[in-house]
Amino acid sequence: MSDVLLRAESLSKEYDSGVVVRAVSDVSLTVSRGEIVLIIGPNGSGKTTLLSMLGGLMRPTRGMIHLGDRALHELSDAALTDFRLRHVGFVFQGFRLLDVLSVRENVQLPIEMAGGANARRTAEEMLAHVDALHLAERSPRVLSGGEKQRVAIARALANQPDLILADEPTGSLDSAAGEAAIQLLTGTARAEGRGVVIVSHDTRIAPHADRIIRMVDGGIPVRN
Amino acid sequence: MQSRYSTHMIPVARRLLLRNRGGWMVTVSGIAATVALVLFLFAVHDGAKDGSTRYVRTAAVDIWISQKNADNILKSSSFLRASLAEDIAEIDGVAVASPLARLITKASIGRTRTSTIFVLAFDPETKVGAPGTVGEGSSDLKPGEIILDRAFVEKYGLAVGDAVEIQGKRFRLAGVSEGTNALVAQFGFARFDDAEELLGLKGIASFIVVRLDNPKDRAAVAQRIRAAFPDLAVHQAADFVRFHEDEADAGVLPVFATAAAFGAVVCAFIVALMLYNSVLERREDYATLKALGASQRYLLRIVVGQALLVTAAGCVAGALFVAALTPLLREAVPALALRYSPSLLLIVPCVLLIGALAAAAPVRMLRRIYPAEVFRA
Repeated sequence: MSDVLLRAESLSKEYDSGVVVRAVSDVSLTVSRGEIVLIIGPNGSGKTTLLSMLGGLMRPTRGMIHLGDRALHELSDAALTDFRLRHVGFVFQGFRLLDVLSVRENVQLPIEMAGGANARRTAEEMLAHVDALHLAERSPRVLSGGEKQRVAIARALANQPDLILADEPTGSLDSAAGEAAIQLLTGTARAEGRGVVIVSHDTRIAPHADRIIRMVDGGIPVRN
Repeated sequence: MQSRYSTHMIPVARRLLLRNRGGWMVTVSGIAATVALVLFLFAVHDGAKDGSTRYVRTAAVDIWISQKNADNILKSSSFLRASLAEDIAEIDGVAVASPLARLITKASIGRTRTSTIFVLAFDPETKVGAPGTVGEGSSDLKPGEIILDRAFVEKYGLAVGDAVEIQGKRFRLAGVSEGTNALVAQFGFARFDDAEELLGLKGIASFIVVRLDNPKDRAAVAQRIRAAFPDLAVHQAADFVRFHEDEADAGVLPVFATAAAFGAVVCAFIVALMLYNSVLERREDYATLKALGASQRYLLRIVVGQALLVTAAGCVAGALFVAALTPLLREAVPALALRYSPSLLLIVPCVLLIGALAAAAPVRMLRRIYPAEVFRA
């Protein structure tokens, strides 16, 4: 796994609301193509903040992030947004499917926003890939948690991203559904050579990860 | 950058908007009420303007002559020697010149009802200055006969042959004129000799109305009249019509325009409030869209699209409301001259523009939604 996809160097994030709070402190990290990295740690350890920075949702106070040949920390807001659309897929704990759209439209939307041709057909192929094509015209509101997460994974994969970031992907699922979702996510990523960073409390994910990083108090202790 | 979009894009704006059907209905109703109010105000204005000017447009008069500084029959006073008509008739190019008297007086209908009326009294021999359109009855007036405006007749339930009393003199309704309703008062038409009796002055006219051998010679003949009578104001028909239009606009247009401006502000607030609440309610969805990579331009299109949808629906609902209400109003208030001119369609782009501008506040709020909010449980 020497083909480095993501390289984060000395990332820090501080919030200043009168008192400076350091959420992430001097974190360096690499993720290779096809590699599954699991970040674990207690609440407040900075996992989600780190994930936000890696995905370009939040700018680091200090440090650098390179995804492929692009320096995310140097991009303008508009360029970063576009980069996120085309190169990063997200899977959220609460699924975050838009309930005003059908299942198919949820998957089709990022493809459409990226100007992809045949957005509808591509979305249906993605749904077929996660075994959810039969749900295509349903509202996300009527789906089970496991079904929602399969749709969310299809949406994350919709624009063939280089990197998939998952925040507590099993957090809202029962054991069986959680296991199925993780197998689907990691299996697809490995097969297609995408890097995956998962943030979770769920230690059952560990066997699926190539590497486990423990965060404590915003940092990664050396023994990792 | 996001540059290409499918022609069959998912209607995210409409779906997000219609998710809150109650809010959508209230907003559309509010905009519809505003649009209906503005439509109604301008229809009243256009109707009154038409009613104030149609007589001078259709009276088949080529040149109007008055005292200096009098340039309309609505809001000016002019007193001329009626026999001037005979002198003016001698001028080359003049076919007929007749006196026209104008009185603003009260008409009594029955024993208890009275109404202000603009009486224009023309020479029954030449009929220059008679109303252009007489819908019922005749414009051949015998002594003691009068032609009254349609709205006046309907307002008081009169019919040809009925009687009205003006300054103690009884008049028989001989005809009904169309398009002679100036909203604040309606026109009536009588014989010049009857008007002299009402005035109590013989040989006094308000205007001399002139018909030419060749109407194309208006400018030249007007110049000859001015040369012969330098103390008089000589107006060609087109100018005289324009003076009336200006007068009608100057009277009520500023009031109606102010009311319409208030309507526009109310409309903008309604749209802004609805969109603001919509963004607030769907904050998580907008954060998700941002996280997924929706550009600011894409989100702007959603919010402005919602503004345009809601204002367009408001325009349609307002127009339908006015269309349904107008016949009822015409029935209930005959004096209300409503005229819907094609220029009222300008309200639609104005309201759409107001809606788009009203999206500014929600768009500002949208900017303050951070994509990382999507990680909040």
